[in-house]
Amino acid sequence: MSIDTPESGQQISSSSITEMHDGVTEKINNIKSDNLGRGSIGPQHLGKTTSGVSQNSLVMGSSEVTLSSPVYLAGLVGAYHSGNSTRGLDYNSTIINGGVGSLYYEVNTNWTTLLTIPMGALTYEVSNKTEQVLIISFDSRIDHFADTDNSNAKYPAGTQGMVWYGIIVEKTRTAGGSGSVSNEHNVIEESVVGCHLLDSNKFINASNAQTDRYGGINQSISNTCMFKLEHLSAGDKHTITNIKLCAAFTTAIAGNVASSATRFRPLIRNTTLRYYSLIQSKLPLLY
Amino acid sequence: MPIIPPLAQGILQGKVDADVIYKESVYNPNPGGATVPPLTFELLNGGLTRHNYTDSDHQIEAQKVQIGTFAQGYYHGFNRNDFMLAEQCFGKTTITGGDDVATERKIHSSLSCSVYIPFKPSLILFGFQAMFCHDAGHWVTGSTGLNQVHDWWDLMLQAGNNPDQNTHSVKYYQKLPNTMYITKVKGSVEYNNDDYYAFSDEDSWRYVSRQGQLDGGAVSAGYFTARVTVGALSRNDDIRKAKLQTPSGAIWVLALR
Repeated sequence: MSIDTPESGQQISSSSITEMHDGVTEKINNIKSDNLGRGSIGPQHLGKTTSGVSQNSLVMGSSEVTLSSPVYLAGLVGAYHSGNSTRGLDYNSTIINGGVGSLYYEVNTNWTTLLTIPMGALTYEVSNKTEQVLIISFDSRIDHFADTDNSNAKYPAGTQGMVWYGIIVEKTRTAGGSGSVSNEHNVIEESVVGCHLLDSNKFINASNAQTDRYGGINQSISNTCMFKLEHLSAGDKHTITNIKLCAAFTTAIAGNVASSATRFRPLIRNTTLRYYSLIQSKLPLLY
Repeated sequence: MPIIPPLAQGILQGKVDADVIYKESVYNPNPGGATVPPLTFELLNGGLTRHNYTDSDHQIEAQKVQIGTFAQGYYHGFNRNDFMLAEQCFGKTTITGGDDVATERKIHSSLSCSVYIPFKPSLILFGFQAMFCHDAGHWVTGSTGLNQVHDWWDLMLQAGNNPDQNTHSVKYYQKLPNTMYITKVKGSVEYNNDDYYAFSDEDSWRYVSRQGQLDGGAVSAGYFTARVTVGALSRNDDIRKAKLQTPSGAIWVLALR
């Protein structure tokens, strides 16, 4: 339907203005969300979010760090722990420095921190306004086993083992909640991956049916996981302080390696840890 | 969209005032700060508000959003053999991070893409994953230069608007291990006799995954390249015998607006 406009020569009054305005608003106000057609919303309609993210950006923050020098894993994971809340590489919501257990219990002192991303002032707050998620990933290369005294020589892989990786998110509660907890360490369950150092110690050889081999590990390890504070109570506010990538080593033949041994330990190279944080507004994007 | 209220006579005060009409009816995009939507015809200029969502759950149906509104990506996967020979890749090496790295690098034809990104992303993600089946010897022959030495292949993920093909660093880097054990050179059994050449061990073939990200400060709108370059070091007297086969893999890019 057309909108009535003043005719040529007609004197414009305040009444004709309001009539025109009402005529237009009647059409506009009848456009409901159901009237949005397929593909009618585009990037030009994105605006600032409720948390003040830059115009048209859904990325709250991102960072990537790389291991500059190779690292020998000094820590050795001990025997499998069968406790309900602390078994093996399991974790729960207990707190490392709370004196009631540890998130990764038997390995907390033996895991080597490979990389740390300091997070600055990234604050998570549970509200009905926004959802925030951290997507964290890493890539790593297991170069070889150490020989005696961590020398660079390759060692026979008869004592093949496993390397474990875990992503740890450290956060501080700054508001809400209860108790005096100031630091919490969350091992992201999906991040704890074990890589069996698959390394056949027999090769087909030109002169022998098979023979021992040396070295040649060079495993590629990658994983991606998501961290979301959906379990927090409303009003809780946490500041993410650090994201860490830790690793530890265990052997398939326990008798071959003592906890104090320095040989057989894997050398870690070319490791990169990164995160990016996305915000999704539960309330509409603002105009 | 919000409901545009009527333009009451009280607002006009019985006058035809251009300024009042303009601000109250036609154009007033920011009447109460960022949290208050305009209640003028400026609404027609777009912008999402609560009223653009279905009221029940404040969601908008996915099909109403154009593809590429929030992100744009590219994925190329393949399941066919891609061959490279050490002869193609063999070149100079240098030490980076305490590790031998090939400095003259060749682009892996299947793990390479150039994607047009029509906007400056706030973050761009990229990566690859592939199975590599390669030949590389561990030489234990007792001969000078061929005793306790290793052949290798290395992979470097490069990304950017115009990355340098010969870039090498400890970042986005992966080396592939030696795959065969060679003990005889010109002995009773010659290693370079095809009948007796050592076979690569499948246990040393690797599935490699690498990814990375660049923030908007490091990327411009336009073509974005992500690719894997390959280098090799082979001590074989016939380096055509050392090859890299990639039977399956993929490379991907995802740009977030």
